Amino acid sequence: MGSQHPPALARLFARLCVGGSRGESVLQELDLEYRDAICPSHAPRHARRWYRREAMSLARWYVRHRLSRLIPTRPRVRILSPRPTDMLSDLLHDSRMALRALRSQPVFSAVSIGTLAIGIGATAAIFSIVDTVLLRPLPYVDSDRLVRVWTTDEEDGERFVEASIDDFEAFRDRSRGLDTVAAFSLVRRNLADARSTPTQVVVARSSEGLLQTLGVRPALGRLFTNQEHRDGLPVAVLSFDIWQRRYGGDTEILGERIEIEQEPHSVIGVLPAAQGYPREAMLWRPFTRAEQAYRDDDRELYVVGRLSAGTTLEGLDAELAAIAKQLEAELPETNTDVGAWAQPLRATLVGDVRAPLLLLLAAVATVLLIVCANVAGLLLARGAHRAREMAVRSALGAGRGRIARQAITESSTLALLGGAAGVLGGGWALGLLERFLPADLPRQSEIVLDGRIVLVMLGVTLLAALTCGLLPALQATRIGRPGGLAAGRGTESAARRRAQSVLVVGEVALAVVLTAAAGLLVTSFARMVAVDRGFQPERLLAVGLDLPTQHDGGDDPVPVYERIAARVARIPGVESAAIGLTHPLEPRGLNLRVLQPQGLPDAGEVPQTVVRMVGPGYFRTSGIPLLEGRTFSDADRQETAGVAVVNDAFVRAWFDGASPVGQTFELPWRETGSTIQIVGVVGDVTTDLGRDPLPALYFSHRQIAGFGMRLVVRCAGDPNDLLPAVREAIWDVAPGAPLQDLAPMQQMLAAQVAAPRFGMQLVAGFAAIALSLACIGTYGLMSFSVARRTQEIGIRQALGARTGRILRMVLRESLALTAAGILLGVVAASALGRVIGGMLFGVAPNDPVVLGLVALAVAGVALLAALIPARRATRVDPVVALGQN
Amino acid sequence: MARKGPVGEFEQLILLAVLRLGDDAYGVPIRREIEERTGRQVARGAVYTTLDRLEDKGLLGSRTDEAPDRAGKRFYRVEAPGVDALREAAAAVRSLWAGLESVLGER
Repeated sequence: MGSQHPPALARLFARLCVGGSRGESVLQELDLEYRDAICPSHAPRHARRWYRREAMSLARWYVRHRLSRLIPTRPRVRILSPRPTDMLSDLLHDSRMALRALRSQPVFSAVSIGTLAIGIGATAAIFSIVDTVLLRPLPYVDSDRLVRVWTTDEEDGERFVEASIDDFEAFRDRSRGLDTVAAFSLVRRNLADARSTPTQVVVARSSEGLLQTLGVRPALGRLFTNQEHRDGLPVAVLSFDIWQRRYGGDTEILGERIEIEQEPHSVIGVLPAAQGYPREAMLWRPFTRAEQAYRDDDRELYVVGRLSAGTTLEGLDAELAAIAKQLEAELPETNTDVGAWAQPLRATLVGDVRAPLLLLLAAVATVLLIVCANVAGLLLARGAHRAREMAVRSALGAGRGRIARQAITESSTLALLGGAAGVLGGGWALGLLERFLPADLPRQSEIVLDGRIVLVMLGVTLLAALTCGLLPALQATRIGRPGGLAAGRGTESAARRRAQSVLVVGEVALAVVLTAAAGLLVTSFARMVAVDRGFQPERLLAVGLDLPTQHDGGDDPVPVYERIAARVARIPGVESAAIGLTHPLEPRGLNLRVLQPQGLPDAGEVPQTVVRMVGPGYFRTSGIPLLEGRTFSDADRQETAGVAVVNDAFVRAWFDGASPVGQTFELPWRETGSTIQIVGVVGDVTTDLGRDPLPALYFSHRQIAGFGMRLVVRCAGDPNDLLPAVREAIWDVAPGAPLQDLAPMQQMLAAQVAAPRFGMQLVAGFAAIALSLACIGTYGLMSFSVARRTQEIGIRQALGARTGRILRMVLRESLALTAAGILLGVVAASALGRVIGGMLFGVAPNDPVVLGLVALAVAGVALLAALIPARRATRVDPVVALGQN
Repeated sequence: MARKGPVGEFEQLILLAVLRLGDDAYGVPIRREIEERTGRQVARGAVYTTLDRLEDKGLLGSRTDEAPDRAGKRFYRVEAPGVDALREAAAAVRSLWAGLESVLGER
């Protein structure tokens, strides 16, 4: 059509009026519109008329425009002063936008905030425990300057030996590195008062200044005066715990009379909560005059001291070693090969709890990382849907920095909301956890989720926000380049896919590491529980009987014990009952060296041997097997020949495996006959899983009496049913006798492994959470991937590809990612395994079976997660898929 | 010579239209966008001269493109000062609107 060319005159005129270097493009746009939009739909005459009209309009406007530029205009009055565009208003604006965006996508927000809350909440709970037990200073004045002084037994290689009176006095008087020194010993004593039934309590007999050294101030009343210490007066200070439990927190308690071991004492003070030292003590009292006068060589004193100003721990160690050497010269019979050293007080409390607690912290941190990866993945996925919005922002002139900041603000808002929910949830979870904490976890009563923890969690939350938001932020800055609003549906850029893949691989790897740790702990625990302890704990119960020596039978409690055993044995449902110095799980006993035996084979280095006294039937009742010879019988009495039974470890240590039956040795101090013959060998008992059974020598308690005996009772059925009957039977024979720890042996076994069990359960719980999260992450990525490839799948199906092939094709991607994640995880687990090696029992940290099972489990879970979207892929309608654009 | 000051109503419409069009913001579509959305007739000259003026004020930037179907057109983009100006204007209007929504109501 000839009228493609616009009217030349009009165009020229307009061009002149518009002028300028820009003029040509203005006119060209007009021409284009004329050609493309007007000419095709209008008659040539009308089209030309249109063009002239438009050209004139342009001309008019531009003339005015150019004129106005030439004439300086009046400066406009500023109606508004411009708002400062600084970071703060940007931040507020972005936060408001972020909140609005979150509200508009409730499902996404709920899931993200929910998972963040779980991660941060769990971290808050665990960190509260770790912080209180490991990090916080002890509740004493300048607690870093407090130490415990130990002696050492160089011969036996023992590092943690208590001090004798001579040792203590030497440390106190001669050490300049210690400002104040005090000592205490712990004993179990019978407590009676007008309030309730007598009970056994742990009493700390303390020297001058024990509590003052620590800087403890009484919550009620006062502490002991030096005069009271010197005179050994019967005054007592209560722990906060017992004051609450037994005395109901009665503020009128001061001056109350209580009886400790039938001796009247007066209560003069109560300590504040969680500040008593030693922790186990319920009662403090000074050493009595009699106790002070009785000087033996026993090492029973625990020594506490405060470093003097300017002294270091190393300096103190050196000084203590020197003092020990002096004592060696002065008291050769008792202090040969005895050293001394100082341990920071906190270490005595925290000891071997550090490693498991740090493991828990690492586990929960892993969960948090996986949570962040999940949320980052969700943010990335959401970013795809917001490409248009990002393009607008980019067109608005927002620089990459600004866009990145906006994305980080969004993830921070998410994280802060999740963090707030998490800290609240964490506090609740902590309350729940506290009920299940193992009893021997130190400083338990101090655990609290306070402001300090909240602050730390705030930091953690922001860190999480950064971690979650970084990838999506980088992603967002790439959108908005050519394409923008004009682009069709959000294109799934290769970079985003890569980022999401990296996240999934990372999640899977972390989940593998955590699951491997859980698997190892579970295996370790199972092995622990399966150990043959050397006796039969089922249907066995035990109780401690600390009979006061002024009971009927004179000073000799042996017949009383035996009467108790006989009486208990008559209870219906009891198979047998027996007396022993310890029940099978207690490691204590006399040191054989103390008895000064003569005539035992010279074993060169004298092995540490423990001596126990037992009554007839003890081994049978406990289920300790007889290996050779015989055990004690009624025939063995005070007047008859002295006999002894040894365990297998004893045979190996002293007799090199040869049979000891028939061998004799001498106890020169035994008045009723110094010769002792070994008549039998019994099996070893593992009292403590960490140590091999010690060589043990058993005497009949009729021949050599022990004090503070235990009663073991074999029941026909559930021992719990017989507890009241046993108690009654004992009191039948010895009314009001204090009973200690009456419980089934199974319960004591469980208590022994309570800590490993707790740790295992927690780590397993975390591993389960981690697996679920990784599962969700994989599912999400796969869904996305399938959605992206819908068209491709449709084509393939239309071309006749079978379901199986489609499945395999789709799964291949997820399989590759999962395999990479598992490989990475297994390698990491093997490398990190040695960290928890010390906590494992009976299983190596890189046990291939465990790792293999873990890898399989994770692979299975990931496969399942990928399968669902994959199956959905096969149901794609080819027609719909192909129609998609 | 960039000159600050509040943007007039039509200037705002131009700025908004440029935003909406993203990469395809040149004279013809800008005009069409405004006409469609406001329902008013817009003079071509008004559009172009306003574009020029806004560019002078520094609220817009422009460039040409050598691509085959994009040659001969001048593409505009909103600069940061332009965003700020839009925000200020919107805020001013909003603050005067405050409290009057119920009175004036939605039709």
